Amino acid sequence: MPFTVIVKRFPTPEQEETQTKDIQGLTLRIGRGTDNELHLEDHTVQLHHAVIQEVGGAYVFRDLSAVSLSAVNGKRTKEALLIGAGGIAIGPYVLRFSRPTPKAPLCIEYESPIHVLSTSRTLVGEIERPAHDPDATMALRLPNWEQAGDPDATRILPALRPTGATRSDDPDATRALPAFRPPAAPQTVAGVPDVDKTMALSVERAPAQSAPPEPTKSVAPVVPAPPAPVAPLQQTGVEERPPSLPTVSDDQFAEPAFERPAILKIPFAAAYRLEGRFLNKATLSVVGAVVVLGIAAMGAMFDSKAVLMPGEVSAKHASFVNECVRCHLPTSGMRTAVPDSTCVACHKSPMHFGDHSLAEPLACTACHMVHKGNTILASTTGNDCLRCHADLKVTNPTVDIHRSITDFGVTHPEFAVMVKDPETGHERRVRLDDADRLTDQAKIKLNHKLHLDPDLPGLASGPLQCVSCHQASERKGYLMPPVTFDRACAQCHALTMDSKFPDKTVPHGRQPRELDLYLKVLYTSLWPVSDEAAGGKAAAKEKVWIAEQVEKAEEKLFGKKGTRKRGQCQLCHMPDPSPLREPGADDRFTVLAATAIPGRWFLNSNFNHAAHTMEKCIACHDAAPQSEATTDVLLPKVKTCRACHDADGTASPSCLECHLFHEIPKPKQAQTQKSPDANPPN
Amino acid sequence: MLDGSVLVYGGKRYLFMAALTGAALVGSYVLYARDTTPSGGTLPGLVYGALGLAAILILLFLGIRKRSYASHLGTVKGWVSAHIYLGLLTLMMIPMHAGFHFGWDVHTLAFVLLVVVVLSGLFGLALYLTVPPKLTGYEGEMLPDKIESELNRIVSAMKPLAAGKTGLFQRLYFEEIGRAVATTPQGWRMLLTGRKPFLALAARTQELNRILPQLPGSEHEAFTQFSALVLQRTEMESRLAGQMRLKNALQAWLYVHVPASIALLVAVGVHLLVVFYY
Repeated sequence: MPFTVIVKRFPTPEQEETQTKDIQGLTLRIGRGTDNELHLEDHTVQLHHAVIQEVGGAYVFRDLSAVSLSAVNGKRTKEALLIGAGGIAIGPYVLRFSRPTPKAPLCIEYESPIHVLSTSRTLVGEIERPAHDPDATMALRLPNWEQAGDPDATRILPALRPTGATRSDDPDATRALPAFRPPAAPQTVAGVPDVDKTMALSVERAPAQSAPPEPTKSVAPVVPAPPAPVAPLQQTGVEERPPSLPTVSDDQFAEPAFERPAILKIPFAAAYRLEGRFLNKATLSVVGAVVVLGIAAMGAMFDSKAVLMPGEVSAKHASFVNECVRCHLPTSGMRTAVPDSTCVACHKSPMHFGDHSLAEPLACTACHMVHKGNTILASTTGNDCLRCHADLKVTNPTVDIHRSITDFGVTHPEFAVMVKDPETGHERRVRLDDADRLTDQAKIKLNHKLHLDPDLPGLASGPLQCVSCHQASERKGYLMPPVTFDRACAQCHALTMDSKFPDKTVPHGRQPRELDLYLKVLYTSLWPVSDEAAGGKAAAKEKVWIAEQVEKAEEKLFGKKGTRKRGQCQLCHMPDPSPLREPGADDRFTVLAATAIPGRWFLNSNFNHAAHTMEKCIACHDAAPQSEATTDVLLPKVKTCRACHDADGTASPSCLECHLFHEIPKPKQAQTQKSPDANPPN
Repeated sequence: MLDGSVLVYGGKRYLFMAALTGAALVGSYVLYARDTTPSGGTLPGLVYGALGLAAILILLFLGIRKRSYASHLGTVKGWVSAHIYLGLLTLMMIPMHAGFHFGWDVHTLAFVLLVVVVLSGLFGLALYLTVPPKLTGYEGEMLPDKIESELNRIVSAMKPLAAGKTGLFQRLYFEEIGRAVATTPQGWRMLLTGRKPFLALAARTQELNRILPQLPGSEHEAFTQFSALVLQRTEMESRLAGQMRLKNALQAWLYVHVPASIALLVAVGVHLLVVFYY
């Protein structure tokens, strides 16, 4: 335990605080920097001012500054051996050192300069106060000493100013006086007015140590001091080493050339202070707080609460921006969340898959935040979806759901469609890359390759193209409307039934049985001979003629029974293998199967063909030109979309490009048409 | 310049801690912003807000800790080092809390005040890194308290010289006295303009030389002594002003930093009150 440091502070002149620290190690660093063990807060003290080192049981003081800025026992020195007790002056501080026994740690005691020598204001106060003790002001007038000699000495001398003896005419006595008076010294000068108030203050507060009274001016001499410790604290001494170290000359203690001035009155330094009566940190803090509260209070008073609101209200809600209670129900108290009931009161929208798929239903405000600026609340981001879909918690593990989608470009699964299982008849989810199970089960015969053959005699405008049959809805382009026979097929596949009447066609969308009746009526109206011209025999001829014509027409339309010859209807339609006929119905005619073309392949997403007109159809439906079978599913796969809809692509990969959170009314999975004509779209 | 400064206190421990925390904040925010729309009301947003509030309270606690001389709760230098880096981190935490949404409201006002506090703190840090070495350069000269007493001595020595002299002489004396008792502190003007309030030594010399021929010959000797005191005082005042200017520089930034901190505390209180309503 080489060092014991005792610090005394005086929060008020009457109050004293003492702090004792034991410092381990062989070196005690002294300086203004807080990394010093002995931290002296004064800008006249250097960051790393000095050290005291324990060397072989002895303590050596070393001043680290370029020129000595310290004095040990009144002598300016770069290095000194600390023996017994004494004082080290550094800046406004006096460090009293003592060592009760040769093996005891070096005890260093000092007083915080607060209320002793801190600011000019304190100085003035100190000066004006001691009316009862006029001499007390003298210590504070010491600075004019520097005119007598070494200016550096002035920094040391005020603190080192000895009691009473300073006024002595005896220069030797002045020189002999040490910078520090041992604790017992004040008692020794009892009876003599203590002119050094600063010193007296420190001395009077020094611990009452066992020092016998000494006669006036008998403070221990500085040089030489007996090396062997005598009674601790009775001896004050410094052993100089080397002898060449600078010491304070006599001249530095000479009386000033100027006459002693009057008591300090004018606070010159105060004129340069920042702090004024009103311009100070406390006042400014109060002003700042009041301004903030004022802004908040004004915001609360105005009809518009925009100043208080966490953000501007969305455009559609701006009409009742001042009616906070419309959403923030008074009964909910100080709550952030707005209950869904307030939203649903106006916005009745189906939830996500009927809300039953969410373990914890999301509040409306989770995605639609009203106080986030003048935005459209429906414009949420795909990130909202990823809250759940990045790690979907599925309670039933057998459910075929992709459980982690974080990114369209990478983790989005292959598109899937609902396809009826041919064995069970139940619909099942089939991905587009599942070639074995993916079949278009529409009951229709269509050869895309044949239709897209450029050599095919097409329309007057040229060869057939996709848009010759498929045209997107004019309304926003989201749905591809059904391809109808009349609009798409009739141009080439006109249902004529008789070359004699090329402009006569049968209607599309009727079963053969219905067309039989239609043809009979038609040919009755086409009988070319009037009753009068037939001469009364026309009725019999007419009946025969009509029957012949109907038979020919039906052979052309329906094919010839018992032969392989196919009719016009069978070009596209196929017979129903298990037709349902009413009892007693005519069974001469084949029943054509319903086309059963899916009304909409992707039930849970939206695709806007109108937004993709910059691309050719076959850029996405690339299999169409080679497709010969109706069973081919010509939908583009996910990789096709990723070509553009990627994080680095030209189109947004957001979930909401295709999906919606709120369930939308779905069309029937497959439109089972009674008539083969009602071909739904893709 | 940074050796031994608060920036590298404790082997740069707070610098490293702040760097790690900053990286963690950025990383977590990237993940957070990727999965959802950032705002103060989401759970991560609230966590950022709570962190920011805790940081602000810790930052404000420095004002108490540095006055607690007997406290063993770390060193003041350590607190200041942490104060600096934690203050910088709040400039990340609070915008992340808000999801980088700002507007003309009390919430953004709180953030603006935070920015003012941090920027003024950085300015103060720059001053504390540059000014004290200059102030230490005055060690060779008299310190303000000594200059003050010396100036008083000079001013009081002028009085007997001017006593019983002509009006011009006495007016000059009273001018000197008048200058000494300036009622309004000059500190801010001196800081902002960078000009010393008194005339330079040369200008003062010229002025005195101009006055001397206007006085009767019998007063010349006294006026010469008086002039010497005036010039001495001018020089002393220049030294005093130079030192006080540096001392003031170390204090001036606090006139923004501290009031803005208090205003920030109030604004944060208003923010909390309001957001829990909305």
